[in-house]
Amino acid sequence: MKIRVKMVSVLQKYAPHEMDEFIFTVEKGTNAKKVSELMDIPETLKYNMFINERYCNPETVLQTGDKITFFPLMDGG
Amino acid sequence: MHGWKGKILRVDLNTRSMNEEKLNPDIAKDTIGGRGLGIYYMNKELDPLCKPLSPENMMIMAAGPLTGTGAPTGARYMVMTKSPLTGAVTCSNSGGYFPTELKKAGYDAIIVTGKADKPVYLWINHGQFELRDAGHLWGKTTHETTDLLTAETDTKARVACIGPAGENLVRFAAIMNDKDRAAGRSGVGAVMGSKNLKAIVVRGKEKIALADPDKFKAFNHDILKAFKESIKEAPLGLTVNGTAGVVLTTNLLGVLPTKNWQQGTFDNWENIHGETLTKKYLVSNKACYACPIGCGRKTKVEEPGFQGEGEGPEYETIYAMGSNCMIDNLAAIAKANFLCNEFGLDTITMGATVACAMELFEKGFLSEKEVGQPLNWGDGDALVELTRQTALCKGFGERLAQGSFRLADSVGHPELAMVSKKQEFPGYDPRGAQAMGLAYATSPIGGSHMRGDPAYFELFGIPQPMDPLVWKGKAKPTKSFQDLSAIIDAAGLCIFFAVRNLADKSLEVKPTGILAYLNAATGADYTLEELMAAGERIINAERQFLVKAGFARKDDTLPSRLTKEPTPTGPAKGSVCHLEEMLDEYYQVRGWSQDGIPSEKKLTELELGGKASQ
Ligand code: SF4
Repeated sequence: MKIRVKMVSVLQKYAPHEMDEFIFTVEKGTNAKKVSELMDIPETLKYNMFINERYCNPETVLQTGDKITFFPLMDGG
Repeated sequence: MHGWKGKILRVDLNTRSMNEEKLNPDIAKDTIGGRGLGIYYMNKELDPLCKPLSPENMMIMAAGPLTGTGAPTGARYMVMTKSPLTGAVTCSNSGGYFPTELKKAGYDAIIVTGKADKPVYLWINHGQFELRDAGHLWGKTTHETTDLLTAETDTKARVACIGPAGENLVRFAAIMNDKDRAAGRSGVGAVMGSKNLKAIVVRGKEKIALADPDKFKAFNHDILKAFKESIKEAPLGLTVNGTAGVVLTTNLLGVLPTKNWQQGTFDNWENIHGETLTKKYLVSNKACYACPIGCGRKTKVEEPGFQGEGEGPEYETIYAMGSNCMIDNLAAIAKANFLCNEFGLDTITMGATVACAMELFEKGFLSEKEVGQPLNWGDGDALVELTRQTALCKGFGERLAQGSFRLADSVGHPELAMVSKKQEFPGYDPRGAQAMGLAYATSPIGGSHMRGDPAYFELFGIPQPMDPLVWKGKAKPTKSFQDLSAIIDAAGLCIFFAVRNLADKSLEVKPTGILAYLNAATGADYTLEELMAAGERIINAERQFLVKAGFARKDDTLPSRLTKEPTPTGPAKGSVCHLEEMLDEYYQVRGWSQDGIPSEKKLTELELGGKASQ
């Protein structure tokens, strides 16, 4: 099935051709963690994930057409 | 004593008398220091009903037992007093180098009462202290004051002072130390100004003795090693872009307050983002004492009309003066920030008050004649000009100097002030970060992120993520984070390091690393339970003060915009903050009545004695 992947800021370098958004094909039943592994984002890099602009768990399973967003952790204020 | 210096300096400006007092070791342990010590003395000696700008009010500057020890980010102190902005207790915190110098000069805290008959400054030099005439400094900016004072005392001395805003009793005047670090919030600078105290200058050479130096060193080594490991793959965002890097996250999550909190996303966010700041204006990073992060920004702006040099802007300044005013000109924001530092003003309240005025102007509740100029969204020139007028209490600035609540109330629209307990919020819209709304409403000092910041869970996922849009079950983690913040503030640490590296990775954020540092430094043998109880004790002691000053559930509020108007854009679209539901849960978790009054049982359990009744 096809999903959309968006990489934000420093994570963009883990996207094909460093694109910020692209279509990606995964098997049915793929969860968010699996997508992050397929992207080769190092485990030591801290980031959060959204599916369709809502926070998700690594275990959340994606559906066809879903958009998954990876964004780096930033704190401050 | 170890960690603590064991001495407090008392200054009575009415009689110009000063004396040293021993710090009781039991009180030191129970209160930890800093914020805990401050509220202990306020509850003991200050009438909660006193007028904040009267001589009766006390101003306490208190460092923590880890301040100056070399523990990472052990650089901080608290300024505590009754606030002229909120009428509640306030504890405003700052880093830099002044707090460490205060410890090296021999003191854990300075307690100032009374009012000098004319401007003075306090000069503390290796355990010697004197009040000196400050007539020649009155009217000077914080930078000028600092330069003049180091020239006339000791070039290595550290200075905390007020600028013209504090002298003019602007309700949100700051106390600036080391020129650009601010104990910014709630008008602590106005209290100092009301006492005719222009500055405190310190110089010291004493060592801060540690109970178990070997253990301290070994633990420090491990912590710093783990920290370095954690940033191997990518440096910390805080180091690269400062706190301003958070613009990306908050805009993405739809919680970047925009147009006086009418929306949570800002189309031009990239123009005010930390990366833009780094590219266009960064001169170098700046770190507080013993800090491995260095989130401070030394910046320089050359655009005509906005030229200047200094530190900042931080994320909170960028939200308040930027998206919140629809200003996407980072040069204008930086310039207004420089002016705030030099005049001694809180950037959050300054920006948020201008944003509120812009909405009042748009809706016709303020006229061009009253403001003295048009005040449209996005006008960076107006922001800079009004910042100047506010500090000097000139023109429309005299009304802005009262903060957004009093301004909006004066034209019959208090609901347009984005405040809790009359203090403006930091930059996280609680419609898209529910626990933040609870933290704002229950913060003892009014709208604040530093007195409890569950945005760490909800927006940054540190140390564990929580769904920001869910309100159920948020009371407990909010309480845990508030208690942790109290411990961080009392110990003299910075939240940016401590939350990531010195607390456990659960939603309880147990202060395991702080415990190890505290015990090695002080030898006080805290158990984890004792330390956590000490954090809870601080929150309850502050609440006792608030209750006696007349505060209750009726004051733990948010503006109706946040609880009734659904946010119109971004991932949080359609949601409001469920404050009342969370409050019910929160008071229960705290062991307070449903009116927000600590129960006798809770106070007895925390050895705070007495009732908290009004
Ligand atoms: S992280 Fe920033 S504010 Fe905190 S101690 Fe370091 S430089 Fe200071």
